[in-house]
Amino acid sequence: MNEKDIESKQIEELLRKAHLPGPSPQLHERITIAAKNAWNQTETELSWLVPFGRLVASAAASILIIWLADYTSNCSLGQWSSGLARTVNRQPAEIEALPEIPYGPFVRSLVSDNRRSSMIDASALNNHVESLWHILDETLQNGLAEPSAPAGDRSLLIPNPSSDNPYS
Amino acid sequence: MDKKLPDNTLPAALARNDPAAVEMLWERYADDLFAYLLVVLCSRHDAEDVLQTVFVKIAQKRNRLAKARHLDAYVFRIARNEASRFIEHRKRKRTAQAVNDTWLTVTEEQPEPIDLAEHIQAALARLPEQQREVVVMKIYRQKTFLEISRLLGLSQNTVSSRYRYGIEKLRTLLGDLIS
Repeated sequence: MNEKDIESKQIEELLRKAHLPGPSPQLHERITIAAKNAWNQTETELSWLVPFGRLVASAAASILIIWLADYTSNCSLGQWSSGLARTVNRQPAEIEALPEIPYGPFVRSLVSDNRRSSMIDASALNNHVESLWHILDETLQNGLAEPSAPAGDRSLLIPNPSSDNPYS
Repeated sequence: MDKKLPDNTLPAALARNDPAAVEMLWERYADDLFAYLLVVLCSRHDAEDVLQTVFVKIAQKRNRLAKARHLDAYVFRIARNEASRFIEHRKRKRTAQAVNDTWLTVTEEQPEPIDLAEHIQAALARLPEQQREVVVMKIYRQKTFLEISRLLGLSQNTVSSRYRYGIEKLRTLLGDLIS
């Protein structure tokens, strides 16, 4: 044991000559009364309430963040979107026309389905317009149209049913 | 900590919401917490006030305490937080601790007991708080380094090195008394 260790031992012995006082009985009484009062006043927390509260708070925060992101996005992009012509980039939906996708057939079919679902069905639109023309034609033939109006005064807004249907 | 109570008695009383747990908490923690607060705050009066706050906090947080994995460490964490808060409050209000507040006593058999107590108290007060708390828990509460490390949430090596540095500094401060 070197001199340093001996001195450390001596310091420890010196420190042990003193002692820390414990809490007095009066303090014991005062504190236990205060603690029991706090015990009785504090409602027992429901065990599920804390995690439920956290869940609600996080859900509310996420909704707020999404709403804010959407709002700021609309605000910042609104000036470019209004009044300008929109360009639609139509991508091929057929599997054979997807050579640029460097994945297997499964991924290609997924991409194809996804693109197809987002496309407007041209034939359905065509059928719908044709049915509208048909209804209009029948209405005109049944004489519900204005009888006094000469054929020449016909509104230009209503196309002539005998003309070529651009969708047919 | 007081080992008179079986380890699961106190958590069980807390879980049952039994007010008798307050007495059990006192039996188990009061001495250690009071010693800790005395040396951290260097004032008996402040230590008493903060100890009361700690016990009130424990009573309010009893449900979390009942589920705590390390009950002793959790209680000590509350005491440390309250002591830090009190010190910050004292700094903000710029109120120094009472100069003549005696928080260390010496047994009457010692020659000039008051002087010795004052010297040791002054020397301990000059130690950094981290070293002081380790020295006091080791010397005056007879804790092992392992127990101190669990209470303070530190590694055993950190605790032993803090103790070593603390004793070295005390050797410088109290060298005259041992020569």
